[in-house]
Amino acid sequence: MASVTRRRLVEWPLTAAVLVALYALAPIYDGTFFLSFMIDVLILGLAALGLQHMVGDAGVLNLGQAAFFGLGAYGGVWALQHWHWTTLPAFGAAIVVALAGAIVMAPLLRLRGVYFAMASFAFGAMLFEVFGQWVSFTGGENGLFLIPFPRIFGHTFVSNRDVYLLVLTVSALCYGGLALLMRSGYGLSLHAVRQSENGARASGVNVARLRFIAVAIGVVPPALAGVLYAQAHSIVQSTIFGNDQSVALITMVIIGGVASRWGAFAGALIAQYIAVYPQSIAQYRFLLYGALIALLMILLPGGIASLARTLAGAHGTLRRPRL
Amino acid sequence: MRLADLPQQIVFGLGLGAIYALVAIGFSLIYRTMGLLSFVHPQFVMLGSVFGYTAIVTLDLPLWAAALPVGIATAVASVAIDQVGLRPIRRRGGAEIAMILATVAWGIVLVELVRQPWAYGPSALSLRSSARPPFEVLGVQVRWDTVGALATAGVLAAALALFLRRTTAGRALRAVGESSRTASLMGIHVERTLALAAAISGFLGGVAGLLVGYLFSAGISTGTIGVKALAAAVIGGFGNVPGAVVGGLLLGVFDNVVAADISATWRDAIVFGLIIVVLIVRVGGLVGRRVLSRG
Amino acid sequence: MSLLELRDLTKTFGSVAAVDGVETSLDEGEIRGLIGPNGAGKTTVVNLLSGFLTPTRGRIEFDGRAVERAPAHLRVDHGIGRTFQTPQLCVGLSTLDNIVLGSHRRLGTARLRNVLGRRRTSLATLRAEAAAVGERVGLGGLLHVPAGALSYGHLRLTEIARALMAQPRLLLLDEPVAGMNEAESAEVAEIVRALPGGGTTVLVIEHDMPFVMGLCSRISVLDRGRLIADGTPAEIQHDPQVEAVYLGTLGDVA
Repeated sequence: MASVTRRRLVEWPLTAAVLVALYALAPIYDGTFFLSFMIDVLILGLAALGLQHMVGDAGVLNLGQAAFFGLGAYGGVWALQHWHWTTLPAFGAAIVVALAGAIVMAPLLRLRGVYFAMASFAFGAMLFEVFGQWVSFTGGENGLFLIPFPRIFGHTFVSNRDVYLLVLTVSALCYGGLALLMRSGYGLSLHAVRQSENGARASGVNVARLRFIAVAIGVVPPALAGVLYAQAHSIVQSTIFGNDQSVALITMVIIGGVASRWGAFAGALIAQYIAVYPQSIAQYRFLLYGALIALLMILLPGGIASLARTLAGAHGTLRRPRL
Repeated sequence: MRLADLPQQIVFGLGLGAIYALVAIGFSLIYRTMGLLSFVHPQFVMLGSVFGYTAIVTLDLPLWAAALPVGIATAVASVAIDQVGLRPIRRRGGAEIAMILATVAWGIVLVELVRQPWAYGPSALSLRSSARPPFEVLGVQVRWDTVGALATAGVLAAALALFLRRTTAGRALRAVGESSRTASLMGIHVERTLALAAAISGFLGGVAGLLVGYLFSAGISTGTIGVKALAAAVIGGFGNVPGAVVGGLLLGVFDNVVAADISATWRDAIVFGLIIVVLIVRVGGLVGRRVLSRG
Repeated sequence: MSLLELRDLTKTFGSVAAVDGVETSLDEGEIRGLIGPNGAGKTTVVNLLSGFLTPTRGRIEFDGRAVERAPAHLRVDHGIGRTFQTPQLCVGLSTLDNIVLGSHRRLGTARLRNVLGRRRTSLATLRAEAAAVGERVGLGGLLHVPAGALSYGHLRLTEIARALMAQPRLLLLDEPVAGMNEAESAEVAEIVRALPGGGTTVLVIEHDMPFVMGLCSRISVLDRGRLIADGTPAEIQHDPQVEAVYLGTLGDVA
């Protein structure tokens, strides 16, 4: 409410500037590996964005987010390949499948934070096994091939540049959507629950339902990311939807700062950079992820976002969760 | 499914269960004293298998002689991680989530540190150097290594139970588990006690890992067994040592029977599914001491 | 018919009965005191009444309706509000915003409609109402201060104001004046005394005997989960069982 208006006035111009810069990358780096890299960064950042909403805004520590990335991908690909749908309807299919997964996971939300973490980890592991074994549907480890390029309203996105612009637009829309959502009554209820769950409950907040809604909302970005990944790469293999990926996603959220939406993308940038660029250390990527998280937990639990806030001189971590 | 094979599968499952029990006990101990769900614990099993490989194959020690050094080495690793990685968070009053994420992180670090050198050595190798022929009890084949695993788990569990009840250090562990603030007011050195808990659970995990290597294979994949053993802790009841034993044995039998009779490929998926079902059921019914959200 | 009826209300944790077979009834417009030594189960009773705990056995009838299985957030709908022994407030929000949160059920913030921002006018009305309630409990100048900066006493008042926003028919107060001095307790007593006039029946847990004896029309006494006495302040003060439990310290109170 009133307490945070001051910060908003700084945020919007900054966000707009960054967005413009990101769009500008397309013509400048068209045809380079960097653009492909950025496509993956945005896709993973999108998946991490949903996770950030669950963890940072609703306090739901979901260690199985990659499963929803996969559910969205497979749901979308099925629609693309078997029903010959175009991209937007495929998004719809992906969201439906991911939501089904969220509904199955719903009973686990009764568990308190850490126990839910464990259960969600098992859930993710279980779905990963299903992805790998149910070969007729998912193609298993070999995967599904010849996935068509994205098509929206007759326009086919073939070039690197087109795909990048598409992914960027979807990411920006999701980011904006979540930002708006968090300013509404729903967002306020989440803040209240985070700062005082008992107080909120005594005021009549249905905490369980609120958390489920947050999860339902949080599985939409990864579902979309799944479809985009499949269409950007033309191939989807079950190996990328496993615990490793869930770990990578939570790493991204933590590096960026659990309380920060843009942090999810910043974290994705860093994590992907580690995974891709320095050829010599690429094999040590998970080691670096682990070491980074371990260090962050000790020194900078708020992630990059908290560092940025400190540098910008902003005070009052009013609505931020304290790690 | 051949019914005649069932008793045998159960027996071998008990052996597997004994290993799960060891891991679950260590996990429960950490939970009880630190109030922490340690996701790095399964990786101590992995460390145990790797150290075990070194002890048995490289240093040519017999199994019984290897148990102690392997356990101690893992215990040292456990304490080191606790002091370097977790204690600073405790000291700054970090939230539960931070601690859990830290243990997840350290688990990853351990796996990756082992993956590099281990990638150039045998990654999955049974440590079994000699195989005594199985003996028969009531028409059921019983392997010696199953007996060995059960015996080891039994001895260690009993030793721990005695330790917790009869010794000063053991009582300190229980006191800290109840309330660290009260314990420190009574003069108990909390950090040292927590380090002890880390050492003991590391030891148990390491020995379990040694057994895993002996019965199955050594290497990175053994972490999965550790993860499934967390389920044993859940089934038995968090922080409950006898429960962890029972949970471990039950899970071992279930796991083995499923693998043998239902589906080897879907085995892990089914076991993870069981974890989820049990978590939900446990929440709905019994304990729920600190498990449920308030209300 | 009474507003609230407790029949054989029992809550066990393992082998311990925190609340054991409590039977009593509250009439509309009453100010009931709930006293007893530490650990007697008073807060557990409040938790049971407000839905933070479910009874092992027994019934809670509110306005003729059995509510013992209803979840906490629905009890607010039924008209039951509460405060906490240790104030549970959102330290990052202003005092006013904390009070407004109490009207959550009237705002319907969890419902989709509000997600689209349709209720904005209602929000303004509720904020004005919250300001009025805040003034009434004496938080006048502090409404725009972050709750984290409030004193303990003011935190308690904020909680009461928040609970009042839901227009409860039954308000459960858990040690509302703990740690307050005489002047502050007197102010709170005034606020509570005015509540039945506005349609709110009150159940107050307290250890402060002058406060309880002066304010309540009837008092229930708990000891180790059991109800050992139930009557007017005068009756309670001379009840031998109560005296035994409190070692006779009640007799000198006004």
